[in-house]
Amino acid sequence: MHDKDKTHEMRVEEHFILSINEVCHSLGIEKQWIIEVIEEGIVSPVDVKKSQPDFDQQAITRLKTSLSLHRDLGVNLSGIALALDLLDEIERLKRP
Amino acid sequence: MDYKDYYKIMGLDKSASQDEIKRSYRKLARKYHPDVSQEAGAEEKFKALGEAYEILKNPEKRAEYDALSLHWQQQSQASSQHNQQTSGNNPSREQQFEDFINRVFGQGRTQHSSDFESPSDIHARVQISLEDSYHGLEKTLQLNYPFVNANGQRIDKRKTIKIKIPKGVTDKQQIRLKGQGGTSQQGQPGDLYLEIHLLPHPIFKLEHKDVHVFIDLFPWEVVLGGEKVVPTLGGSVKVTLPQLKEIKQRLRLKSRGLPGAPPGDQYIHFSLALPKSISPDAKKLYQQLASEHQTNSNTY
Repeated sequence: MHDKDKTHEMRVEEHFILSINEVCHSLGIEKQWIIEVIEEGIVSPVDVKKSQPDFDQQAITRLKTSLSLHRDLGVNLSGIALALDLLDEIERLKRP
Repeated sequence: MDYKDYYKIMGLDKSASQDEIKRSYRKLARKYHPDVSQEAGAEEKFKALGEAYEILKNPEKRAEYDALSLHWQQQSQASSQHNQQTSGNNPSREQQFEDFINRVFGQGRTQHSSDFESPSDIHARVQISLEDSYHGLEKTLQLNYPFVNANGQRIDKRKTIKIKIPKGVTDKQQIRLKGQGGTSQQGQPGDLYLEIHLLPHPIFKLEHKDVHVFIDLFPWEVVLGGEKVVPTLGGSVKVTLPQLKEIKQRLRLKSRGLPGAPPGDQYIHFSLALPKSISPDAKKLYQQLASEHQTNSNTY
């Protein structure tokens, strides 16, 4: 019963934005790496003009994928960009 | 913990060289990495592969594992020959294996080299079915997260949490539960980020919030239209088919996709099916249709 109450109290957010500092802290990565990922064109911040960029959840997902490809498979940034472009193309081709 | 055959996991012979082990890891890591893999169960396979490689790439750990494996093999051969049961004093093979794993992986293995304070946010993936997304789902999760204790040791902490996945989440969508992450050294609660993955469905194909279903129609159904029972995520519905202008025409069932603001739609795609067997009488009717088409071919 207590568990059920707890479940209903938890707020689940489907839409959120994180600042670059929040992303760095959350994923345990350096700001410079995120900037390089943006410069490679892998991820776009919410407002490109802002000096301290923010990221929506789609961009955060893409950042996490980039990070895991880098850490787990040793892929460099241009390789990550290529891999993600190809994966996007596979998804597009799978569409009914 | 069940014994794992690391050579089998890596597709290698027990006599594999260190180079072969490295090559096999790199190849399989690309195949099973959850962010690129198209295989079912990729995440579990990737984790098992990582564990196998961690042991086999290190000659000392590999030697210890080989010795233990040989010992277990000899033990089970001996007990099957003499029909003995393992005495209560000897720990089971499973316990010995667990002890070995805890010894090896408890040695402060660092995956990320970082001078940062250990992040207290938890990032995890959850796999759910399309039906789970349609109805919403309460799910209990077991989450592991790294924690740096007061001695500077990196340990794996586990957290169990029951959450409510909202209706209508799409594939690869992230949801955030503030304050439900791990705890930092200072005792601050972090946030929990869940990446939802929707499992492929045998009947429905998902595109964002829209659902696509594929129906076979017999030639007379294509021409005459009529009622057809069609599956949807909310249950089967009766649809009145119009006379189709072409087989590529698709029908839209509004708001029958994933819930949301706005909800997705369901699209029905058609393909032509032929009856399993065509009787002589039916064949005559087809021949009539064919000759009528030839006669009136100027109308096409």
